[in-house]
Amino acid sequence: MTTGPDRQKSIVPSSGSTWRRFWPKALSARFGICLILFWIVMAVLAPWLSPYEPNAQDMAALSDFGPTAAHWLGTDLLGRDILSRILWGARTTLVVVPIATISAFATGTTIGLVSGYFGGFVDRIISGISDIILSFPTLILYIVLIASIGPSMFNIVLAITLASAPSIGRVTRGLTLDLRSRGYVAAAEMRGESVFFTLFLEILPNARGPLLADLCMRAGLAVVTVGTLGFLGLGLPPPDPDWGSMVAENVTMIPVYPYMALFPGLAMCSLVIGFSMLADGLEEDQ
Amino acid sequence: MLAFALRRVSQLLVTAIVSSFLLFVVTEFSPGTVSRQILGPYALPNQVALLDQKLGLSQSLPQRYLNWVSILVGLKSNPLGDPALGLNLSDPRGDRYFGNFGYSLMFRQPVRDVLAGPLANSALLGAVAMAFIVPLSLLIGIMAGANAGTRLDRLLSLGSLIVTSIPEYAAGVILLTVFVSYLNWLPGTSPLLASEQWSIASQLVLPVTVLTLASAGYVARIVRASMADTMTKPYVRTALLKGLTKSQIVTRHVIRNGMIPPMTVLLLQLNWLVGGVVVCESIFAYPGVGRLLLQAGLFGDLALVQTITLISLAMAAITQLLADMSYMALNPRVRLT
Repeated sequence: MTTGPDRQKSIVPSSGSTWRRFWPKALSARFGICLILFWIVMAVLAPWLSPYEPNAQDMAALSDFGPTAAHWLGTDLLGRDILSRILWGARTTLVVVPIATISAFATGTTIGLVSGYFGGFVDRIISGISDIILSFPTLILYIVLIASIGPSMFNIVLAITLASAPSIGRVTRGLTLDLRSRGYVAAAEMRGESVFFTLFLEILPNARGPLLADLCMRAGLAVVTVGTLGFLGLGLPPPDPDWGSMVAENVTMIPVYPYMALFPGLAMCSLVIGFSMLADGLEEDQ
Repeated sequence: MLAFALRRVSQLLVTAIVSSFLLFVVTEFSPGTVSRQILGPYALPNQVALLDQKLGLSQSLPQRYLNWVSILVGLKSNPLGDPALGLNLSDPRGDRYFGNFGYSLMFRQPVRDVLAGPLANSALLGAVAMAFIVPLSLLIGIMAGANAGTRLDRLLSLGSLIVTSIPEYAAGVILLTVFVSYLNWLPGTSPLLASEQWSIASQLVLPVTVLTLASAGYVARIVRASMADTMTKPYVRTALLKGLTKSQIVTRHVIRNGMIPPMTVLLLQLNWLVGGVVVCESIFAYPGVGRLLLQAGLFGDLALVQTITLISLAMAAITQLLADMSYMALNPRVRLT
């Protein structure tokens, strides 16, 4: 629990450089950041790093799918280079995941701030709706939603937002309830600041610590969700590569050619572990 | 206690009604309507409209929801079973009975008959998985929490964090690669049909392992947090000063108090398993409800999707209620106001 002196520390700027202030102290968080940065670099540089076009078929590779000098991680059954597809797949994941996470967070923190700050009737309505959405098992909610509205990038972002905003809202609401009785909130109200100013520029910045750890955890969950939807055939339409559907396309070949599904699976694991370790480390730092 | 239970049950009923309506709205929103599906892609618009009228699908959304509920509880007969429509759908139980979930258009059979087998299979998978998740997560959580701050704790905590982070399908792929492709110890699919090579028990090993890995790490972390918190309580210090050994303190004092929050989390894991089985069953071609839900969703079999989701909602509501009640029973200090 944060006590008096600890809280002081976070308000007074530390003596180190900006770099030092944002570089987390926990080792697990540093490791997580490295893993995430690695995949961001891979995604950005995919067009230059990947040896082949992601959808190009190499007919010569069809006689030998295994990892060779020409195809470092082998090819899939259609002769497409797995390394290139993993690199391009990182792009898909790292575009959808941040958009979905930010959209879910914008919605979730807004409803959480509003229901925590105003309380009463507004709070009861928002909490009631959240409870109902949360009563659906998450994955079933995704299947029902995506099967109804169809798979597309926009719909995946929409589904992730709808499914995760209520629990982000709950976390924010709890923090807001605690912070609204603080002196600086009363001061802002007394100055006649708008509600928007009080919510987003007084309360929200002071709740950033726990919310940031939650954000990283949610981003990790979004990676899992995007991958799982891809795996279940509810993700982005083929043939463009995404890790989940790469696993799904090749999962039946595992007894014979395991690496076709294994490598995209491992890529997914490393990115999710990166986000979880970052979230875990940030929580520890507080 | 009774008043609390009554209030929770009434809350439950309200949630059940609202969430089933929400489910109805979302599923009925889908582009392929029932009539279009029955008549096929080449049906003329007026044919579709005619069937819509016969089935009562042209009514307003709340009216259709009421019809749906009436059919479900046996107040109305299902219009799809009318022999005059010539759809060849018939239900051995008749067209009006309590718990009528309608017809699955994918299997052209009553939903109840389609679901019976897969439900039993999924229940088996879930039960066996829980039998591993509970002891394993308690053991790891208690070991880490009782030694909070030590190297053992850090190792167990990080280990369970990494294991829970791995998406189920990725865990499935890794396990398949090792145990099926390289070692050839276990079967790659689990159709639950005993073959000469693989017994049914051997077919359960990998699906259960995937579920256990995904869930046990998460529960272990919650057990650990609760245990570590309890270890700092004043009565633990008192017990230490009284001269009890650490193992005595942990087994007699800390576990009893530290297990209250994890109990409810364990109950809620049942709810998680309902969704968790979808991916797991898809990887291993396990004939359960999860895979059926996915097939039904992709096909657009509304009645089947609605029924499976309703069952999972009911499961979720009941486990939530049980979790609240057990929390009350275990911790008399908590009297919700």
